[in-house]
Amino acid sequence: MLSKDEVLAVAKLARLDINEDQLVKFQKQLEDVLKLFDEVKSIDVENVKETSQVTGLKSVTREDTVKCDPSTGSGQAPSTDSTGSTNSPQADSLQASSGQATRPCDIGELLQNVPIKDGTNIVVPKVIGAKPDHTEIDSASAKEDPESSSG
Amino acid sequence: MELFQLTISEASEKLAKGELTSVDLTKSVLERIKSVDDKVKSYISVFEEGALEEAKISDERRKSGKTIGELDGIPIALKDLICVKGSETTAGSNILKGFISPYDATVTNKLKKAGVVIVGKTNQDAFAHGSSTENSDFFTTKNPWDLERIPGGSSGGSAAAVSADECIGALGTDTGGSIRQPASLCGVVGLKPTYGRVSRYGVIAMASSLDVVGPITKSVKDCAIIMEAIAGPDKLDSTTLNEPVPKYLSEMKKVSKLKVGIPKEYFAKGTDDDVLKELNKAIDVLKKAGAEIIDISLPSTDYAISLYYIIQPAEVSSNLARYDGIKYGFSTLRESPNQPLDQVYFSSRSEGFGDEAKRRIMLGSYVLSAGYYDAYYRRAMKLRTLIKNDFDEAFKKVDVILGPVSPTPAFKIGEKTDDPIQMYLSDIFTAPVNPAGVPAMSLPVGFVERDGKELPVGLQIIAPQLQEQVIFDTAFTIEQELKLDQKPQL
Repeated sequence: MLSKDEVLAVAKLARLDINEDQLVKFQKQLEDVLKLFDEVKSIDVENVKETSQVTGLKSVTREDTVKCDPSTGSGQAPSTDSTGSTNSPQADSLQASSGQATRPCDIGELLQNVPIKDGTNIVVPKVIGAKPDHTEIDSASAKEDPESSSG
Repeated sequence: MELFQLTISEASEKLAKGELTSVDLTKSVLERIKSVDDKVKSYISVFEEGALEEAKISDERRKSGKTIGELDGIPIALKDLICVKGSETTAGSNILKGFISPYDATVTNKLKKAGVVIVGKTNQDAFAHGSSTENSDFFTTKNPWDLERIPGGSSGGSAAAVSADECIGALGTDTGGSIRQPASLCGVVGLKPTYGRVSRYGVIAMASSLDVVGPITKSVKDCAIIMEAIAGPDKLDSTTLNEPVPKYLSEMKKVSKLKVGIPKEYFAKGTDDDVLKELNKAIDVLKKAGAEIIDISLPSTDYAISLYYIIQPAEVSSNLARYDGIKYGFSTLRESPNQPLDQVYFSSRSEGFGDEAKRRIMLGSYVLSAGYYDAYYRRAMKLRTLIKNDFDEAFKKVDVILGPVSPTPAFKIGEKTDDPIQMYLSDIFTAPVNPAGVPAMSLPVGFVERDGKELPVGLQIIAPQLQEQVIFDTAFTIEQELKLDQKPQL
């Protein structure tokens, strides 16, 4: 059984507001899915290993290098030769034969979807000491996130 | 025959002989979209100008003797969760409405290098959560064979577009059946490749241990052509397999002495009788060709769907945590910039996500939370091992496994929207494949009648990891014998 409180707690964890109608609906629907899984609880998996990577790859790494110069074109149109990546021995073969930039190299282009920015910085609202003008959520989150009300 | 009806291989041959230009072909496809898409509603966006421009460039390339290959000048549609630089990528969701891709996905990049003309972006269930496109935050795509029915999902827009000749080929993604099920219900070919065979860089993530990108096409040959272009390792996706890509098309051959596994669980009760009849006709084709039919068992089939609906929402809840209203996508900050941080999270996510995304995020958050992790998520990961073992055991005895894709033909719009469990159960034969990482195709093999309308039926062909070639060979053998040439009447 999934209680209404559990549904509300999980919604809060997931940063979702749900109203009373949704609460009733989601409670039943989530419970139905969990019940589906409960039906297979009898299967013995005591000595079975978990599978998270199904093709067996392990710890795949690559050089963590900047492949383009982000300082070159803030807010400007992408420059096709700014990738600089094709000179590197690490360069992808798929990039090697193209003159077209396939990696984000232009800060302005990367930031075009940001709601609020200041120059090339993403503006993030205050975390500490934020003004509580949404009492319902604020009091709820205060219980979970002490830092949000600690200002 | 109209130009928009051509397959990739037919169009490619005509282009090579100089009987056709990419501009004419692209114009024909764009005209077709104009005349039928208000009924079918496959597309979220159509790149009319860009497509004609790319077609012109392809024709010029051909004139100067620098043509690239089979895909040069071919109009292709992409599911709207695949990034195309400089254009909108929504994943069918309100929270990404207006999101402009800052770069090309690797598959987009590879297709561009192969010379394709990108005609547009197709509709889907939001974030690929669904089996009908009814979970799209924008509109529902219709099945071209019966406009009152769903096209399947989540790649329903791509499958409907291929079926209705609104493109020559398309890409979709498959996490639990999202390429195969719509391909089956729309009567087209759809391949879910081996996990890691195709890069997912620049493709909006749903469940990262299961997601794959694959082709949806009018023929088996076309499917092989697109696979050759998009498959292969990619440094930008660490899950891609470092294996060479076979020449699927030139190595394609009819099969004779094939060992075909028929799992009893896939042919047990639950699948419509007339659907089974169509599947058996296709199996008979292989028998006649000399294949040996072997009865097998995949005991995990019974619980595969249950564990799929634990693992998948768990990964969804993690992947969708990035939509926070701060970095991109829908944000209440744009309207009221003075909110505290936590309120931005709550309000942006609550307004931006649809019900199905919320359901899966909450379910995933629950099964991953302390106290429930062992009972649900860890247990599901162990059951996943049993599923993989089942397939491994079966493939010691057989070369391919055949079964249904969907237990029924396309269902009516609205029929299952109130009951998520019923919707989830339509994935019962497709969902076991993804946790095992094996490749599988939906091949059109016949039709059944519902309410006076002919509806397509697809056969599922499953092979061991990286054995896409045997799927192509098996499908080609059946396709050449059945010669289905019906088209939906629009």
